[in-house]
Amino acid sequence: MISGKPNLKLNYMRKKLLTGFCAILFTSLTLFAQNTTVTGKVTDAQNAPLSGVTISLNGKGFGVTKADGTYSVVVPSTAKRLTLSYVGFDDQQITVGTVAQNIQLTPGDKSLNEVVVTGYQSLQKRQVTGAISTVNKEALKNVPIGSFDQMLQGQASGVLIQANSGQPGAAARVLIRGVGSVNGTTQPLYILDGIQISAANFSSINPNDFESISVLKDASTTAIYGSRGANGVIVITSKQGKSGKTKLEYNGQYGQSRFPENPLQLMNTNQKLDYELANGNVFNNFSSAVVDSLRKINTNWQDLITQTGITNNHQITASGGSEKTSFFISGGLFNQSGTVQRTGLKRYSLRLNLDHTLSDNVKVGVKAYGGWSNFENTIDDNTQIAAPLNAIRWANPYERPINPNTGTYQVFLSGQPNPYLDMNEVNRGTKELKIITSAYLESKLGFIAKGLSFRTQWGVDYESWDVTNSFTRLSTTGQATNGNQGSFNKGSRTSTRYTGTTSLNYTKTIGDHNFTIGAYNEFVNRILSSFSFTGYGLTGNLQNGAGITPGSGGLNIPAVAENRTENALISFFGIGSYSYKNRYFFNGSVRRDGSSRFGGNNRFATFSSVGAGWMISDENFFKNIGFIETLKLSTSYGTVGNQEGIGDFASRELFANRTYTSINGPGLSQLPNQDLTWEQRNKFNIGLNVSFLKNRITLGVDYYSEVTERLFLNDQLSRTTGFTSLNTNVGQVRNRGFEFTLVTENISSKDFRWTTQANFTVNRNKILSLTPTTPPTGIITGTTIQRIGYPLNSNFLVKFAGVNPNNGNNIFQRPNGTITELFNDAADRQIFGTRDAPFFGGITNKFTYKQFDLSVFFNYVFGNLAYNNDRQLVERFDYGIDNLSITMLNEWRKPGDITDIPRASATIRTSTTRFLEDGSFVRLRNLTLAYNLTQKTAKAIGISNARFFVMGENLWTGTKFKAWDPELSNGVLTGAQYPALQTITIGLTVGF
Amino acid sequence: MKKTFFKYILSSILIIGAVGCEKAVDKSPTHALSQENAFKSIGDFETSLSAVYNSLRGAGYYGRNQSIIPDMLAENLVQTSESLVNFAELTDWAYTTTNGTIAETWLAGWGIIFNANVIINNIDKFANASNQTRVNKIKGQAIALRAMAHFDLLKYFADNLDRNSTSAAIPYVKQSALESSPASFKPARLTVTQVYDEIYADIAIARTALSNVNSPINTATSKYRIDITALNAIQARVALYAKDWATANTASTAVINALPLATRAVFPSIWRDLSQTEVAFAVFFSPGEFLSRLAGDVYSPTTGTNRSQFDGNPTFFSQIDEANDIRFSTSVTRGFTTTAVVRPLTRLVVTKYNGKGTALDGVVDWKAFRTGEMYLIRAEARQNTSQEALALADLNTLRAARINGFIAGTETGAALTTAIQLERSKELFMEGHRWFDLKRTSRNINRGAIVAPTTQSILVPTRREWVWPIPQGERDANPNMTQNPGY
Repeated sequence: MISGKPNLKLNYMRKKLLTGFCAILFTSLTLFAQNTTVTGKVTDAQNAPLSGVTISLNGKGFGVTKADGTYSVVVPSTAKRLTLSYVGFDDQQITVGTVAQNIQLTPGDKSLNEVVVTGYQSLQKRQVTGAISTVNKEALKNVPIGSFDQMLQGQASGVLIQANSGQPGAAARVLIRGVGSVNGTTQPLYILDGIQISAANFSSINPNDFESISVLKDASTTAIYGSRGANGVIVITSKQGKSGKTKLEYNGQYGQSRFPENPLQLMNTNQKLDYELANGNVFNNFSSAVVDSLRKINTNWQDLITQTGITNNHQITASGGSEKTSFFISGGLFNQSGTVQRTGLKRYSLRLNLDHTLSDNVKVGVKAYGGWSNFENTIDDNTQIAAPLNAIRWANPYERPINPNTGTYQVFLSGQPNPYLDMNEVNRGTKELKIITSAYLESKLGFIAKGLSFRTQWGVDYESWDVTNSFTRLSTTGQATNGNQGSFNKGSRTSTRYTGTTSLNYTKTIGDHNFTIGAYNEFVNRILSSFSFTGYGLTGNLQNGAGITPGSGGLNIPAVAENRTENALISFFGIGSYSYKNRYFFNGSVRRDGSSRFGGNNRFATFSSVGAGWMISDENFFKNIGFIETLKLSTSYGTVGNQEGIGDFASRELFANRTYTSINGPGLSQLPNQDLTWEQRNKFNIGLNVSFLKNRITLGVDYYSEVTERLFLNDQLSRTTGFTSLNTNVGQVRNRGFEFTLVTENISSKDFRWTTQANFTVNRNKILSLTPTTPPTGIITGTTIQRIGYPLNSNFLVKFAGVNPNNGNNIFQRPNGTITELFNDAADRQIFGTRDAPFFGGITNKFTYKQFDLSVFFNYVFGNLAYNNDRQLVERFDYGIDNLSITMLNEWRKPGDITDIPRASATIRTSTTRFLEDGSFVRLRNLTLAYNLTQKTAKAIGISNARFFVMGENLWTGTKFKAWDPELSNGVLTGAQYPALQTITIGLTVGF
Repeated sequence: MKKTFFKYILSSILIIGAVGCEKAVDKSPTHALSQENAFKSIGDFETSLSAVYNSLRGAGYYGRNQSIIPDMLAENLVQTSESLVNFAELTDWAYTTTNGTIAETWLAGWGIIFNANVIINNIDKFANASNQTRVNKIKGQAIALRAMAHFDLLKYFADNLDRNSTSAAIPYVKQSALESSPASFKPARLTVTQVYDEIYADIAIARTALSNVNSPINTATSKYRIDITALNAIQARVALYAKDWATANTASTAVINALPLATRAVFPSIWRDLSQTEVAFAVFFSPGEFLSRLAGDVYSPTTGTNRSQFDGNPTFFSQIDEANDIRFSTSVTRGFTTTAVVRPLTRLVVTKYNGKGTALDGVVDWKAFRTGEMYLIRAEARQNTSQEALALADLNTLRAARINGFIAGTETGAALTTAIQLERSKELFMEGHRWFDLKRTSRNINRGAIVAPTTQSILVPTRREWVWPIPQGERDANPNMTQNPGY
């Protein structure tokens, strides 16, 4: 042990527990001397039995309803009123009497009694002192997107999700409460059923299995995750069976997706040829005969590589169980072809969740998930000329895909790659197997002390990728590779991450006082290993591995690489909470973490939090305020860490093997830093929850302020050391903001119901300090800057002030306001806004009329300025050998021309605001119209329920940004980006 | 029993903790080395030379910036419309302190020096009486490489390259960052004279070491390392820039005597890596080991690219006898193409680095030092020390070796000076010399009429661009580093 503290704590706790144990034995004897039995049945509005409804007295559970909805609980005879509570329904009070109490619960999803899962615990919303957003599982159901993180877009306040690629299966960038790290990761921690899963590779996970998603944001909820929770935590639970009749459900869906038009229009054949001729025919020096022949060709390159995408999504689930055992089984098939040819995602998945009660005290269970996916992709978001999505923008319209004389791929006059060739001669695919499985044992240790329980859970998140890329000998990459005869690459990677959590929990109620304490131990270990092989010379008939011709060219030695890294985390932590009268809530947590990633000097660290909540509306003085139903104030403060995003051995001095003339020797690849340690995010949150007008309006407002300290930053070194920088813990960045969540029931009549759910977030990011070697200007990286007092990733450009009508030169505005034709990169750059959207949110309107329901969901971001490098590449004369934007037709040609495109011979200046655009957009993310069969009809045809729906995804986007898709994860459009799929599907759900 | 159960649970948590804790989070890399296990014997230092030679191949050094950029900066290449204009800021002489290629060049030099210092400063711990000649062999190469890398940085970043110049130059780094705190390592610039003093001293130490080695370093067909002949070549070039004519004369003579000029018949095969005649030091490139297209930013012959971004300048090549001078056809090929793209015969495509043997992949050794250059160094040295006849003789020997039916020239005085410089540009086309030859002699460039996408034609001697700026990143981290004039 490096530190004795955790030990001491446990010893101390043991003493306390033992003392408590004796006390409980004594009190329970006195408390439960006289008892009375209460019985009855609980149903929903349609008289269907509800099982699992909790019957409690003063917040303490006494039992749950059985599968048929009946209950029988033994309560102290002093009890007057019991509370019945159930997820998704309003609480109901019953008076203790001798007759059976049959109760109908009414739905009310705004209830503060709703249970939220925080990973290690389940809490009633009322008890939460921090900030948690829960995402309705309905929002994930049947959404035709391969990677579930994208489905969370606009669904939760404080969470900004932006996908950089619309490619089926591509993951998004998920930011919770702003960017809090520069060199470290900004991805949240993902926990599925208590097991840490990779913050990527979601394409093999079936989101229809999810029961709930909670987004933990503040300190009181994330500090318990210690060194991993700084960027927030996304806690997912999968569905569980309920005892009762076995339910079978089928979900099926079919749809089509289309590729959008680009608002940044390019020239057609005549425009391009005229442009070239007007500029002196310098690019190709065409003869007039050639020009005439080329005018007859006008190729639509986009049509040649795009297609109508097809989505098929099918799933069968079965759930049910006996009183002792419950199960949930699902099998899913998701098959989506993209809107670009040779792209798509195919996923097969299987889940089995099983829970078994061994005795009144012991429960065991297993959650087993296996998903397999086949991801075929193309490359995007880069400036590579061989990327088909770039090449279709750059290929001249007067070129053909196939040479009509030879029948082979046309070689372009420009020498640029033919996109049709690279679309058809390149295969990229990843097959992924993902297994997430865990088993738990929990035991009530009532024989030691009432309220004491033990739980241990061990699980693994296993991923195996099989990446295959083949570049035929005709492809651009294949011809540029070693031996120039194509290459075949196969890589396999496996990641195995174990999570083991063991805990003791103790709850105790004394009168109006309720205590909970827990002691935990956790161990996380991840091993990543990889192997790759690249063979050259695909001169055989087959363009896969069998086509590799050994020894062809003599120099085509296959490239082979292997690697393995490992990291581990060991933690001890405790949580405690206290509530009084179910009205005042206090909680706290302390976690001590040790990580293998850090230097010997700083391997262990402690994180902690405190939180408090006050149910103001329960106070007597509040009873007179009639229109407000509930009012709750909560606040929390604490410290959370971040350790992801740096290498597993980032603190060590490393020598890598370097080769020269086939001799392999050591060369330093990384300087040591024994002081490297966690980034720490200090989080403060204060929130107010209010519902009024008979719960028809519920408003939640949170204010947060989070400061990340000890940022991982590259402290600049003198290059004379041979290195540019050292990853060091210096610098601070702050995120502050407001989050609003509004749920309203606008109209509620017998046949028609209209509800609205909206959320809005304002996040302000500011750099507080940077490395000591940072010059006052800040750290400039390309077209962005990090400067103290400004947000991270601020645009740093020279202001473009148009074109001088007299000579066609660029005009720039200097910081002092004067106009100049001289481009002074060093002195004249200024900050122009930030790339990370400061304002974002979503709004869902739901309309229900009789058996029809319609839901309309928009999400939006605004306030960000994005750099359009993709436009820059088609708005410059010197790339005129390729196709250009039609705006280039407005190029300055003669004195007096008023335009914003400079003369052809002016030097292109890219780091100017000429290419900076408003990145705001609003998108109709989802539109669903559905019809539900009436119970009567359903019964008549022998099923329990059925629903038919038509769903539109991304049908409309409003933006000024000039690209296929304004959704960018880093605020820069590097090159052509695969746009989000615009999909229309039809489907049905049938339950038996 | 209950108490036992409870104890069991609690102790199991503690056991997990006690056993785990320190050990559980102590993970060591399995696919990388630490200093302790990287250097365990003298052999590890010998193989570690690979790290130094390997870093010569990066784009910041012979992979591009010290090999073809000097020609792109000058006038014997012309940028074509096929250019991706990735180096416009350099080739239009519009660079500032933030130029990425300049920063890359700066860093690459120090990376080589760093790796060399790891060897130089630690090898003596493993030296004893019996392995001294082996230590000499390893340490001699490392010190020679350290001197060479400093010299190559000096050429770009110092203004006046004369031996007695007091212009600000570069630091001379003999310590590796591992021996001090990297964050506090902030050396200041020495004067050009001081840097020369250090280079001369290192070359002297390397000479002693490389003169007494346990086994030959290079063979006739493998000139991939620095041996005593390569060291002489380095010294000859250093002395030429320093205008230390006496040393230039003796050092180049040593190379000339060791490695006679290639014949006209053999000369083309040098550029195809089929012969290493007259090569003193070549840097090994191969598709299997280090796939880098040396001249890819000028002309890349692979069928996937076939892009000629810079052609040979027709005005310059009109001075080379196309029919008889072997250097025309080894440098450029009229209208060369590897795909259906047609280039007119007026286009002089640079085919000097097309590949090994018959390969057309652009992967070929970098001939860093060879005898042709040594003749020209000696000619210049002799002319500057009033040995004009000998200078002319050297020039004629070289021309006779390259030009079929060459009739000996008779230049004297200024004409001879001009002839030597012209011959340098012909002989050393695309070998990393042109910019520096202009810098150390006339500081004048005239590219003639401007042809798009190039926007600049004339660089006069007073322009600041003759010396590269110290990169901004260095100045931010190291306040002791002063900037060059004009930036």
